[in-house]
Amino acid sequence: MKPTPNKWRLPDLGMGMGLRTVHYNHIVTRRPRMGFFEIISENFMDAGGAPLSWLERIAGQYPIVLHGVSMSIGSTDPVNRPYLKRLKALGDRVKTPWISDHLCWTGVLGRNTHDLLPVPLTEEALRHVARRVKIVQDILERPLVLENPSNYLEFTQSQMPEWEFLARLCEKADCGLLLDVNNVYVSAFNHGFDPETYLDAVPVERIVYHHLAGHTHKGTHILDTHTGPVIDPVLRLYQRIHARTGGRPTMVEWDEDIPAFDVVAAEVEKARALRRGAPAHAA
Amino acid sequence: MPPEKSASHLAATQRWMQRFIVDPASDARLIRRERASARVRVKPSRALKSEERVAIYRGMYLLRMNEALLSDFPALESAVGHEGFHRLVADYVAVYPSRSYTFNDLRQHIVRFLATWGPKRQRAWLADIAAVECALADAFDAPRSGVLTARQAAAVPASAWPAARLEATPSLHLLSLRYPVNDVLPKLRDGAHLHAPRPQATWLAVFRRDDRVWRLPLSEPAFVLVTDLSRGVPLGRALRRAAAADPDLEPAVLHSWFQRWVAEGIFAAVKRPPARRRAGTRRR
Repeated sequence: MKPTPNKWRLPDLGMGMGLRTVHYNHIVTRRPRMGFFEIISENFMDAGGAPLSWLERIAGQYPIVLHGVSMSIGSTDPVNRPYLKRLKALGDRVKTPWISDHLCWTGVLGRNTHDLLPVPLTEEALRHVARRVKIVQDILERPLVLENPSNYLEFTQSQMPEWEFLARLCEKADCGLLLDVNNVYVSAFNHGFDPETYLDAVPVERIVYHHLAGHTHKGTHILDTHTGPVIDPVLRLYQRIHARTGGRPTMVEWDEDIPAFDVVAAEVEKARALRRGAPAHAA
Repeated sequence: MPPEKSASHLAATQRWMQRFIVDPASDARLIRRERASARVRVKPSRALKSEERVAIYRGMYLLRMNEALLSDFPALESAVGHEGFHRLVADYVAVYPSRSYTFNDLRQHIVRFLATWGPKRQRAWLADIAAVECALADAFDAPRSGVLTARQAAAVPASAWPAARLEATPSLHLLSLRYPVNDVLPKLRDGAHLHAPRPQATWLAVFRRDDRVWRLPLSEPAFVLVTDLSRGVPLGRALRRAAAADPDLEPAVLHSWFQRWVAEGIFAAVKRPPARRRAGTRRR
């Protein structure tokens, strides 16, 4: 299948995974097959010791992409310019092709809850976030790629579905989309929408890469815990979006009870097989 | 920090939701108070009421703070116990919430906070444990620097040493403690619940070398001297002050300290004062 390129013709880095401390030694000594590693930006922005040394060694062997959790693009606090300058410096250091974060806010009145809090999907919020994305991209001097968050609530004031908000935001602010397929599944369950409708509506040319992950089902709702294998229904959704894009870089996140490298790599292999056209249930 | 004016409805929603998440009131009390406003702002799901949906974020907030502080303060958790640590975290972040993009800054007020938290008889013990663990975490994250080598030190002429200033590595933390925390830290970090030992003044240097963090116990005179040096006091004056504080201090002991400190990588560089121009010479 011929891929539909993303708008910026950013490179297809293939299949990757989240870089986690417990795997550093394995990666450096075994040099496993992996297209790229994604780092949590904030874990390295102020690091001066071992984390930075490991990052430099791994960045010498693999492409690194930056994924942040504190940009707070939807917050009504002023844009944090010192944070963005440090983020840019880290991006320059590891030569990241793009920088990603979430469509969310993490706090107001100077606080940081360190959570990815949902943005009301209103015209006002759309204008607000789009304006801030432009400011951020000017400072970072590279595309900002925003991830669809997993949400546990919906605001009564929301005026459009999330897929429409994201599509309009990408167009208005000229930014990219990190489509987390697990998050679509999680939010679809929590809010009761059809995840396929979501995937069929997002603008393909804006999708820069994908996240896949496991989650925790609490019965009444699903928590995006990034633990355990990627479940088959999520892989089937991944196949569905793959049919539209023709292939995008994809990485697996595993953040709780992190297993041995090979266990996470096996999840990456599942997704790799799907990119090659294998059926989801056989992956 | 005033909100951006262009999004006043959004700002109101965000302030309300943050208040719901971080309010230190009990869950039951908060939900009683905020139930009506939650139902105005948040849709119920098939399985959860509006207020229960916001409460998911509230529950995760303290768990996240607990996890972040636990990674820095495992010995402190052993000392106060699992439940005690949860209470400490909740009380602490109610006074000193995170205001930074990084969790690294969350720990910065905990020693001060512990001076007034919990039973009085435990405060100094807990604050000392926290001071050591805070220094370990700060040293781990400190910026990189060069290291003064024995060879570089030997190249400084003897006549230049009295006016020379030593620059400490940015990872160096010097601690004056009321309890012998260093002796019991490994046990505490392994999860042992130890009662506070008898008070005993101790001194400790914490620093990073080769990407590993080290703890070096110091005598009181050594602590005073290295503190002076790390603050930029010229070596000659620092030595005179050390000798005045302890007249029995022998040059051989001082020499061995310096050898050890240089070998450990405590100093980043030696700064010599610029040579004085002779009268009548001109700058070209």
